[in-house]
Amino acid sequence: MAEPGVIPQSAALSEATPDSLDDYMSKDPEVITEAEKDALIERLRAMRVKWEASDKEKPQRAAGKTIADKAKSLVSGASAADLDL
Amino acid sequence: MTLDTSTNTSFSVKVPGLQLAVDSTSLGEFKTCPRKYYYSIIMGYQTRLESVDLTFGILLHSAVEHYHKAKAAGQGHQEALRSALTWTLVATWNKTLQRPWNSGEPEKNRLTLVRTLVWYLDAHGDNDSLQTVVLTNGKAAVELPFQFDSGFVTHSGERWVLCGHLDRIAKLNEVSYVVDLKTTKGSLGPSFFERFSPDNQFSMYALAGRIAFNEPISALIVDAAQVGVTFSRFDRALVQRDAGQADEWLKDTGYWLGMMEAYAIEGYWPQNDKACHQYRGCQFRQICARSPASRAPWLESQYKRRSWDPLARRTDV
Repeated sequence: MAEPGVIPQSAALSEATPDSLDDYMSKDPEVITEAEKDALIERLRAMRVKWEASDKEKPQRAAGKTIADKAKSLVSGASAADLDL
Repeated sequence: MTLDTSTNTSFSVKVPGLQLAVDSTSLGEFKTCPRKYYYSIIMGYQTRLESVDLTFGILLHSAVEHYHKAKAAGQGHQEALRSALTWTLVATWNKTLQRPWNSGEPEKNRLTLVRTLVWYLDAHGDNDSLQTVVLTNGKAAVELPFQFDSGFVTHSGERWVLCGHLDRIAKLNEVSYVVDLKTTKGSLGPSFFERFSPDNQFSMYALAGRIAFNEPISALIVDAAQVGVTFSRFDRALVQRDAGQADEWLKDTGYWLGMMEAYAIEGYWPQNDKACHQYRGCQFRQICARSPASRAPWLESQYKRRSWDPLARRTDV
């Protein structure tokens, strides 16, 4: 396994990555301030909210139901909700 | 080829090539193919290409470990999250070259690692129904190294130990579970979770929870993260291992260890040519496809070497 970082430079990290996140990713972490880290966390949280909203619009996955049902049958005293399924 | 494993602390000093401290990866490689085990574990050959899945998994595990330790030390969620984020950013930055880790993959890269970390810890960090056990020394029960006597002894009187690391021991409604974080690019459907029963690694972990940590473990929890290009999705499932299953696995392990010893004494590890094309194909397929006399120079030129010593560092992600 190569050490992280010893990899040829290539194109953008992700096609879906906004430029502002690319800026964070290309910046030496030693010069990123605590406030900037909090801002990065908030940006990522906003991405999550946006993605969850779009994901909810999709049809319910059958797989999730199956796993939850299985958990119910396996855990005595715990519900699927307890497991965040 | 001269075999010298005397400098590897996990190997026998009496029988060259006989591993006595066995982690789930080593045992898994041996079960898959003794020749593959010989090349990758005993000889320590690995491909020169980076395994992005392995790197990503190790980095995420370590970052989450930082979070749990910070929380156990009294930090709040945001502070611990920032601490884990800082560690991740530093760990994925090449200071010499002044550039970030670039995996070359759209799903598993530096940004998706950071995104997965933040989303995961926001989902399961602060108000997680699974409460990380705090050990008697006050530390969080995360990244726990274990080794315990297997109960099996070699013909020369040496004892085998089983070893590795548990991601976390956590409680849900006062019941203890070994929790193992897995990342995948695939979907988190039933077929993903079914792969852990039966499973070599999970059976060893269940046994470790019982024996090494004296916790009444009857099930494990797969804490799964699906990592996509634009999203990270999380799901959990129980993986049951009752006492009967654990006993059966341990009994079977005795047979596998016996084969390990027999092959080490013979100095010969046979090919299992039915395993060459499993998954994405064995990394030594190109070697085994050659005539035996021509393999050694190819191994030296196409692969790099490292010491596989599970007593020295974490090897089982």
